[in-house]
Amino acid sequence: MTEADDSARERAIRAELGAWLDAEWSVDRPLREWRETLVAAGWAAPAWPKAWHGRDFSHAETMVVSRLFRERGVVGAASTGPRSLAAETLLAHGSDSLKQRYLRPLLTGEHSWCQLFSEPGSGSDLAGLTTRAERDGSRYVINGQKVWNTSAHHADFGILVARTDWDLPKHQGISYFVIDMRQPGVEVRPLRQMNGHASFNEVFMTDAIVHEEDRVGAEGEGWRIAQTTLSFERSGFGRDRAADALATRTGRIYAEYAEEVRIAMEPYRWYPQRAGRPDLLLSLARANGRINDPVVRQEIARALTLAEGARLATSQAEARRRSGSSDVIPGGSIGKLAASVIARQCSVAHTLIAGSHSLLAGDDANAQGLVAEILLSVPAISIAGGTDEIQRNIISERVLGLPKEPRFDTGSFRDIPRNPGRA
Amino acid sequence: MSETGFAFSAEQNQFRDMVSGFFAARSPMGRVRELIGLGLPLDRDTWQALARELGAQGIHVPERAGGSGFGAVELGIVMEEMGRHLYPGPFLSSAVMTTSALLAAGGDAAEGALVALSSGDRVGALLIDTLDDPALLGTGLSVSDTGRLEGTAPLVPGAANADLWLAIARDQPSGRLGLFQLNDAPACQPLGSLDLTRPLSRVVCAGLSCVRLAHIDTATCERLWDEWNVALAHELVGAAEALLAGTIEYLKVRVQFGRVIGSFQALKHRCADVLMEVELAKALAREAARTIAAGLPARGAAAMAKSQAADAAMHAARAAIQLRGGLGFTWENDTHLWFRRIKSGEMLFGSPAQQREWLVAHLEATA
Ligand SMILES: Cc1cc2nc3c(=O)[nH]c(=O)nc-3n(C[C@H](O)[C@H](O)[C@H](O)COP(=O)(O)OP(=O)(O)OC[C@H]3O[C@@H](n4cnc5c(N)ncnc54)[C@H](O)[C@@H]3O)c2cc1C
Repeated sequence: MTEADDSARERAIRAELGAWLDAEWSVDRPLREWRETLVAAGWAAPAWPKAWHGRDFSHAETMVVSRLFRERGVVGAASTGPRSLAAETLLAHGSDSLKQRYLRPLLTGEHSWCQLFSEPGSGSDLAGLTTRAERDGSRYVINGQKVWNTSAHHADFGILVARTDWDLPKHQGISYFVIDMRQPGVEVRPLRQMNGHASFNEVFMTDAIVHEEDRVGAEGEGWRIAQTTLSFERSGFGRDRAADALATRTGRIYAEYAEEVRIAMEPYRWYPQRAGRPDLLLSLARANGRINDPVVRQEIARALTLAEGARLATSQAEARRRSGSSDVIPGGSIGKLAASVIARQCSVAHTLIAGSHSLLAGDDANAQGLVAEILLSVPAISIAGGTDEIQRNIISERVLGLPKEPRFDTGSFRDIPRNPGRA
Repeated sequence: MSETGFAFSAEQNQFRDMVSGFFAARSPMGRVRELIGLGLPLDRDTWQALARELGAQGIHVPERAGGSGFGAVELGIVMEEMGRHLYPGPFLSSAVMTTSALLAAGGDAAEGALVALSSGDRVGALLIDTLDDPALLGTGLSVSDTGRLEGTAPLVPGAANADLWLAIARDQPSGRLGLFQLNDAPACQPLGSLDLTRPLSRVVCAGLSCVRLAHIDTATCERLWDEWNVALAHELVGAAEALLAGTIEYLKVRVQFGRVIGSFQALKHRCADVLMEVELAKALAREAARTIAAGLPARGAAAMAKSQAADAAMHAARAAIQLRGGLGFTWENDTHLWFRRIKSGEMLFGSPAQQREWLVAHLEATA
């Protein structure tokens, strides 16, 4: 599309959505009921397929929708926690029955989700997982432990990878499931993080039950399907927005939304900070009287340049994809690695700006503790969703075509070395 | 839509392939080496073919002034491929510096010079008293009320091949900056240069006759710097990509400890980091070119593009040497030729640190 086509398309979307909002949107509506309406009209997830609550919109078209929502103060689809990872995976690999049952309540906020991938014995090496899924008629019995599971403490459902075959090579014996978290066999214990918050958990599964129709894809396809989840997760890093301004508005729907945010979002108050908050650098430097310090200016400029470069790299890749070019680096690893570098550079700059005040935390500290929270949250971005080292492996092998490391984990999963522990 | 990213059109991609094919055929590394050995004379056949077959010298010049009527995006494509192939002709000095100064000046006299440069018949050089900071323009060169250029241009790229001369100098006694065209060739003294494909000269002007094409203001000088830096950012990206690709090839064949060294994680990770930095640089360079092509203010975009491209390309160059071991430190291996070209791209028109300072100054001025 040319830029002229683009702006015509933008006007058309704004006109259609604007008229629909005039008719439907009101701050006095109950939140759940509003979201049902939003989903039914296809405005909750416009990037999704038409058959499943969406409109097949491109990224740029979706942005027009979110911009108009923002301008008009409209509450959108539920977005807390790892629900989008579940949604994207179900859209790509789920049966119609799975999509039918789970997608709508995921968008309305009726259900919340978590991701049950990492285990005490296998994180980077996810395919080394030892949680068992044993077939028992039309159901599976699940035993094992997961860890670092964001949102598990309030999730209704989890996307779960577990081993269904121990004799096959490690990547082939894994299957992918949706597990009901509200059952006696599932126990969730919150874990406190280095920044003091507790958004992740450990999850113990003891004879927990999953029904056959909640398996995603065929038995043994779990690894391949997990790649969809992981590549979507990687490409989402660095896109954290600053805290939601809607929750502070007045009106019935905002009050209900604020409650949802309070319950569901409290553990994630630190999320925007893990990306380093490049948006605050200049204003804090001004407020602290450091904006004329040449050393501070250098570090701020580095951070802003990297952040802008990453933003443009993403939007240009999207534009190339839309124009049908094959010149697109897949997988999101470059963006995820860049997000880590940006976050670290921001924490360097924020520390310089705050000077020795960066030694204070909480309400006593600079910018109501935001700077301390940035410093203590940035390390997460280099670990969660696949570490920086793993992203570098992926980039060097799959993008640059360099040879793989020698392997010591081929052959039947039973026979390969692994961490001591359960299973 | 405003959030839409930039993507090249099919025609632009085709143009890139043609440019790349041209340099691969007409200016392979063997030829570059040969020209360096001869003291880098102008290969006029290649220079004129570049103008005739691709319209490269006038790619951003309007058709009525003998150009192809495109803009900064297409110029960026040419520069990127030039960096990839290490083309040693005086393109930056003639087609970028001199040509964009003429475009900024406008007018009939400038148009005549543009026609000569775009056709490849003439090679231009621009005498300026600084390659660092546009704020320093006019501190060393001045033109008397009788139209005589006085002073020294201490570092002039491309002067050795030039036969069309411009200068930015201070008009006396008014003290205003102007763009002047020289009537005669000045005496130019070639200088020992780090960059073997883009050597510098010192030009002393003792009362050379010249005519004023236009007065230019500070904003125009800054705009020229932005355009030149964005062009260089593209060259740096192309050079970095060429070095990374060559390094990857080497890592796939060199064996140590019974395995190809490309399977060592320390080396793989270094290449991954370089690729990530180059990808960001590429995105910034393209956006900056689009900004210039649209006639929009480009101070911030140019500063970001240039600093990121220079840093990424220097990392690529250091890795290209280090990952070849002793071979990387030899004269025989071509890597140092790119290292030298990247160093000159990094330092011309403001170092990365200077670009970062300009970026913050710009953001503060427009806040
Ligand atoms: C904030 C946060 C939220 C998270 N949320 C979730 C979640 O919701 N669900 C979930 O399932 N998981 C979650 N995780 C877990 C995360 O995916 C893992 O921590 C991560 O993949 C690393 O695994 P690990 O902790 O076992 O470390 P390990 O894999 O043991 O890694 C230890 C170190 O070894 C390095 N290493 C490992 N293998 C290699 C290799 N091949 N080459 C080079 N270096 C290597 C790693 O980079 C790391 O530095 C979360 C983690 C964090 C920090």
